[in-house]
Amino acid sequence: MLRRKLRKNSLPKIDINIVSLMDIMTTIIFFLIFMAGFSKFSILSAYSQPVGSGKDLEKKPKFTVSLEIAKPTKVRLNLGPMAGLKIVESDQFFSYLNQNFTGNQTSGYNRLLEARTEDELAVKIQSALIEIKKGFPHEETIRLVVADGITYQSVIHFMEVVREVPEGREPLHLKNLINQRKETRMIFPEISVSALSDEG
Amino acid sequence: MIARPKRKLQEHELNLTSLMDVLTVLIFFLVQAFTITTKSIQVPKNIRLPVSRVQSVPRELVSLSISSDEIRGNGALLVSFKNYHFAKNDLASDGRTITHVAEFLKKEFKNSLQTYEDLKAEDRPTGKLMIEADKDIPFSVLKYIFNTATVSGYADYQFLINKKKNSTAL
Repeated sequence: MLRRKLRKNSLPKIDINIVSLMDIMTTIIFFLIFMAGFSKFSILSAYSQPVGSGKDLEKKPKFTVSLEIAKPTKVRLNLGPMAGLKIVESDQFFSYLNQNFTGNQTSGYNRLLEARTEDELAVKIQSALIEIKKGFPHEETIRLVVADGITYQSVIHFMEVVREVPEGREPLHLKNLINQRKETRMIFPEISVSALSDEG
Repeated sequence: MIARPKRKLQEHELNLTSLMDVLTVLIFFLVQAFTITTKSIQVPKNIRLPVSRVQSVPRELVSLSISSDEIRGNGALLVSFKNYHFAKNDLASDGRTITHVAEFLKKEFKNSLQTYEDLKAEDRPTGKLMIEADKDIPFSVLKYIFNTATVSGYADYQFLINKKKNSTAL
């Protein structure tokens, strides 16, 4: 009597064996995580500067910095006119420019940088750009003006140099116009590329 | 001797439902992420990409592959060249635009804009182009690519590179 009652009330016990399913899922997860970690590709972004767009028709003063790459070991750093621009610690900034660059506030500044190797040149470029960035911490854009003979690998190398300070090196300590401090590795992350021959 | 009643072992049930939930979501996420990023990037064998320490995730975009003697658009051959010079009949009248590459890019750009049909022309986004070029290609070739891409609506570029280990050296 009791047995019959029990049989009526209890549902048949069904066991789903999910051990094999768990095995597969865990294997897939480890495989995907492993593969993602070792993806060998990366990207560097830039945009192009259409010919003639450099001649800005707007009268509003605009910060411009460009790096003319004539040879892998010889570049010229150009800074546009400074009149009317907001500069952090301007006295210190102009003192640096007057000591290391040629030119003036109205026409802009430029400096020729040369070195025996690309790596040596990269250090010089980055040091100069860091000083410029200290004066203009809010500016993000730089223009690379590249000569015909420069290889794609060199273009990528220069893009890397103007973009950020590498890991393991001292980051930038910037102070903005309202005295707020910021630590960053980015120098000029927005890069436009144009040809030296098009610039005239 | 009194026989002790045998103690029944207690049945412990492991509730795997929540664990399964998490695993399933994780798998879908990883598979989805893979489909968008690395799966679709296949660099032609004759292209040796430059190296860089910059770490960014590549996205699937319209791609131009530039080797030492040809340009391919999404894998299809568009134009061939010798000694890094283009034949005159491959260039448009301005002497700076590669005709077949421009045709390909304009077609791709038109297709991509279908999503933004309702927007005004000036509000529509510019195209993004992935460039997979051999590291030894001179800029004299790349400038034709940039000019052609710009006139075809692509002004933003993503250069595909091989990751280099982080180092303090520049």
